[in-house]
Amino acid sequence: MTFAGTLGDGDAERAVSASVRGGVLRGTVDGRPLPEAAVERRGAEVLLEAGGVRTRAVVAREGDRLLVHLDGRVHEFEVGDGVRRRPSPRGGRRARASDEPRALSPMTGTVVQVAVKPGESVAAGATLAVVEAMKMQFVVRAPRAVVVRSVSVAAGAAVEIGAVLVEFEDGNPSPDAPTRENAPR
Amino acid sequence: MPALRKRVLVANRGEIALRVVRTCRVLGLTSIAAHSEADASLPFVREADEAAVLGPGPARDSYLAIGRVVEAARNARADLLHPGYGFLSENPDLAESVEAAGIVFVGPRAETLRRMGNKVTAKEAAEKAGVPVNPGTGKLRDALHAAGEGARIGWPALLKAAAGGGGRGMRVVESPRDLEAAFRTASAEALASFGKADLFLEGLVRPARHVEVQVFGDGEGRAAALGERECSVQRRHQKVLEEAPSPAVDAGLRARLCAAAAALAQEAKYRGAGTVEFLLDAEGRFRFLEMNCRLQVEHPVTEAVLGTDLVAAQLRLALGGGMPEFPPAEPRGWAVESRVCAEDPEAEFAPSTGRILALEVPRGPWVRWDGGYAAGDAVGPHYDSLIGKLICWGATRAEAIDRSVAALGRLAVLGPRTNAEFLRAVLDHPRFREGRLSTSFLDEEFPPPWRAPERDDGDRAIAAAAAWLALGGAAGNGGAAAAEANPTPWASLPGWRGHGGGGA
Repeated sequence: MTFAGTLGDGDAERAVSASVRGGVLRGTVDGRPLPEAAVERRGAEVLLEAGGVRTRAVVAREGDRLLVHLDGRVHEFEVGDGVRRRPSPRGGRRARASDEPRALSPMTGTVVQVAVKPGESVAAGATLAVVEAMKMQFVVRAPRAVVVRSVSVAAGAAVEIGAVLVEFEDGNPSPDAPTRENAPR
Repeated sequence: MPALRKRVLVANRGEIALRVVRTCRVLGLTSIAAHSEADASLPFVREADEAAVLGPGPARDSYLAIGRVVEAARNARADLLHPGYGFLSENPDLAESVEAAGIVFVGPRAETLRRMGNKVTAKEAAEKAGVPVNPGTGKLRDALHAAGEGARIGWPALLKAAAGGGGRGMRVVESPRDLEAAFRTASAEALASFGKADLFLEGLVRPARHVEVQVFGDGEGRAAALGERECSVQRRHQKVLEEAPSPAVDAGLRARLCAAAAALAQEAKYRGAGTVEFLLDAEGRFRFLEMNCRLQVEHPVTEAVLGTDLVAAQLRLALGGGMPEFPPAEPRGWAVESRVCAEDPEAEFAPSTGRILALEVPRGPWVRWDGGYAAGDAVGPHYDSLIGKLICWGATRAEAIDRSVAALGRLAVLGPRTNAEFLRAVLDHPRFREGRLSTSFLDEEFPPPWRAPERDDGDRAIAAAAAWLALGGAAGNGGAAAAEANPTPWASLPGWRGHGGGGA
């Protein structure tokens, strides 16, 4: 009745060790002690009571992704064995928007439009591609001024969430360099 | 000799198909769920008396394939076909083919669908019935034609799909400069969603409320108006929260709205359940927008404040029972519907697919959950993102809102991300609580990007996670072994892993 590993929540990855003996949870998070709590688990439901405060959570796990529902909010963790360190999807997504050299499909669906060609310079916010799923179209935009290096998909292609759509490098457009927004057409 | 049980083919999916299946059971009718291969294990198929496969997952090969739907109805020896909402529900060709096969279409006649389902001819019908109409253009050939026609009604204007619904194929055009791009994307969306690319322009009233009236006709010219619903809380023209009655409608305005809606339904000799949509301005003036010739997603709020079952009424009329009895259109208390969708409000509401690992649905007095999925089901990319609708009734509007907020807090959908927390934030917003709504309410009060409010329960979540893991989480529900057998996007994301280790 023990667990030792890591829980990443996007901002930080914490080393967690926990054991339950006689219905009591004891453990540490990044070396700090967890408050001792009476615990009970029934399927997906976990009940905790620590210092007179009761917590009821619904928990489920799929692969490395652990979901904890608490008072209307789903907390997402990535469970690690404590050796490999990798960012959680949520953290990864936020980081990606600013510094990833590629645009990924935000969802599983169909590419309906690819708006750029390799070599093209585009301004921040320009449309790179449009993906459709569930009858909704989602515009994938350039996170900053970039130069398109390669386009990995074509209109009509089925893509998984996270599939690479367009790879690019930082554009450093001089004022007179043509961009998609002001290029003569 | 006992009468043969009548047979109803349910030509839809998800929550609305399940809702029809359950009402068939109440009425002693045999239900047949016509479903795609992708939906074979969903609750509406499991709960139906019988099931028939339409075709593969993509809607055009299953729920939108008229030939396959009609063939399924014939093979099932159906007496009735209920089309639900969306898909082919307002398609006159389906209604015609079904009735030609000797099966009753649970909805208006094909000729009514042609006239009232087209937004341009529906406006002509409204004018004939003496209903005030929002000015608009006829069918547009192209962006250039739109620019010329739009000058008549003035800018800004709303570009809409003639065969539309659900906000698809719709764009606000602030000035003629935006027309070309708007025309291109809206017609592509209209073609993809409805099979027809036709667009038209209409006047944009700002600020305005979207208020609609439920009607029910017997097809012979008798029609009842069953009160209004407020549907102003919209994101990109998609309804997010609905309520009945409207906080902007008093008894006098209700009487005028209902009289106008009933006049239109009578003029159209409307058969079955339908909805007449109006724009309501700040001065209490209303204009006809369009008619939805089907059951609406948000019909339960009307059911809650009137104490009636609209699907049962549809089926009874279709069985030849004549005009059903309805209570007077005076709302009792208040009802609010929250549309819970598989989408990530913190990522511009991108659809979120995946398997539902655990699902807990709130229960309690005056709390209704019309859901389409159970734990273990996958929310796939083929269809819309609606997981379920939470409908809460209260003696007052405040009570209905409080009940909705509490129930959304107890709703646990683990797997795809959902908008449940966003819905709670909207319900709790002072302007929503005060009922000061307009169709731009969400744009004004919740401009993207939306972030969930900060909370200090992270340590409790970690403690719950640690306890669950220590008590055998790895071998528990959806454990690692199961996830490897059913790989999910999260478990196989080269992009995200690459970001950490540079391996991809």
